[in-house]
Amino acid sequence: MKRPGIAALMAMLASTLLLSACGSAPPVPHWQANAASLMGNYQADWLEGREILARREFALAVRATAATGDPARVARLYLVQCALRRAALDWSPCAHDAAAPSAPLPPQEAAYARFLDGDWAGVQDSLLPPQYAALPGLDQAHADRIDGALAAIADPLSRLIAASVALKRGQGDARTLRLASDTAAQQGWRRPLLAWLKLRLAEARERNDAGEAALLAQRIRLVESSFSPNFSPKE
Amino acid sequence: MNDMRSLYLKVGSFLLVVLGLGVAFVFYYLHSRGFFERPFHFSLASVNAANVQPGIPIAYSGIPIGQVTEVEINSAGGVVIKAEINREDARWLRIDSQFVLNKPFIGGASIVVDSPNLTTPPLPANSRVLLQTADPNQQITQVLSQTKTLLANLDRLTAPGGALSNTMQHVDTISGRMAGPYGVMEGVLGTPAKARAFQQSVESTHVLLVRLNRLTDRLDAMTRKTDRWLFAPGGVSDATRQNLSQLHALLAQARGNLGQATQLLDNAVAISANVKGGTENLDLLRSEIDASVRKANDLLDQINRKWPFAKRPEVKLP
Repeated sequence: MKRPGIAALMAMLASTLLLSACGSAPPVPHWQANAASLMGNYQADWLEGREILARREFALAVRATAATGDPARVARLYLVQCALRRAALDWSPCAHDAAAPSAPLPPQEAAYARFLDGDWAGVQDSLLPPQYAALPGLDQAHADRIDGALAAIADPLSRLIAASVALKRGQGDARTLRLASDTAAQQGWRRPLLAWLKLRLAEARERNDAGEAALLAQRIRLVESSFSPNFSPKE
Repeated sequence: MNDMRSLYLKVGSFLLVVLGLGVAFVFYYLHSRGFFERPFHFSLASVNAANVQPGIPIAYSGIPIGQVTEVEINSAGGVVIKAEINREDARWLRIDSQFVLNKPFIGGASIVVDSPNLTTPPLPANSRVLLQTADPNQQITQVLSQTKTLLANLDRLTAPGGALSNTMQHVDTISGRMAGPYGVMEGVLGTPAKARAFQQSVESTHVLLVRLNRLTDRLDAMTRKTDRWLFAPGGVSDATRQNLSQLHALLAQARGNLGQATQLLDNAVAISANVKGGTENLDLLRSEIDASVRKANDLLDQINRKWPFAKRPEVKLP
């Protein structure tokens, strides 16, 4: 009498599990979809130098995420902002604790924040996004290998960020500069491109390489002219 | 015979023991419920017994400690509310305790005791204290009187020669230009050329909406198809994959269009920063554009939700 009952129950349970596995995932909450798309737009706009738009999108993304009342999620947005700044050679401190200064970061975010600050000693490779995993192992002794490691990063934004942080750690050289500025140039990211080109210009002047300095100055002018609202091509 | 007697004795003593236990239990139960304690009595004086009836609880810090037992009118026409409290809870009643009749909009009334200072002497038994009332209806009356004052002020503002009518005259001069072919926008933006550009951009959002609408219809049809493909034996076929990449392209297009709309909104913000007068009309326009963009966003959301292989959108650390 009892056995068929249990069997039926098991069958029901199994079929329920199967059905729930097949069924569509619960719809993504609005804030999440909005924050993700806003952050995507923010990254593109910021890198391409559309400051007003980018600022607006970031503010909206923070607002959407703040609706969850979760400091860690908001901190993640600020970490993205900080990473973008790093890509454009801005080494000002991160504001990831802006939302809740006393809330501790989750391990992954904390590792990322330390990575961005150039504080690589003791950062667990496994906690970092996979593209950076090879970097913390390279200290000043392996200066010659850093450029190879940077070139191996496939994502251009990640490559820029890593190059900038490596430079801050004193691990970069002229090849790092060229790699980073080429990366930014290929993507048309005006903002980081300007920063890296200007750094290269300063470096060329230091070497008294007048030819390269003149070339770099022209490239800088070209990028700068694209920012101007009155930009008009020559007839 | 002897056996029978001892059996009777056993049964009798068993019955006695059970009876004794039963009585002891009843006594214990009554004792634990405070039946043998003499409750602490006191009375409350009030001018109005509305909402007060025997049985309503008396609460201290939200915990009921007693109840109203009787409501009566004394010879002077005042209302006397008799109440009793568990004797052990009487220590929460102090000489300077406040007794407030709390009648929420929803739910029954209760009397709330507040003793701000527990070091003052305790309330003597059978004493009489004043019952205050916290009636939301009274608050409404206050709000009503405030509203009346506000209305009176508004009346003064809108009267001929008042501050508002002067402002309206100023608006009239602006609206002179609003009669032009581009109406409100020309008034706000100054020149017909600027207004035309703005008008066009607003229209382009509408076009975008129509296009997005059509896109959702197509996507709906396609998603239905992919559903069938998905559940067919063999899973996702090559044809499906092609369709999926096409869907991806369409989604990207929708995103691009949405980006345009956002830029448009940004333009509107910039314009509103430049134009000082007539901000009200501009706000209206902006809210319209906002609404358009929101609608477009909703459509995109719908698409995203129907998209069968969508990843959960998450902010990735770059």
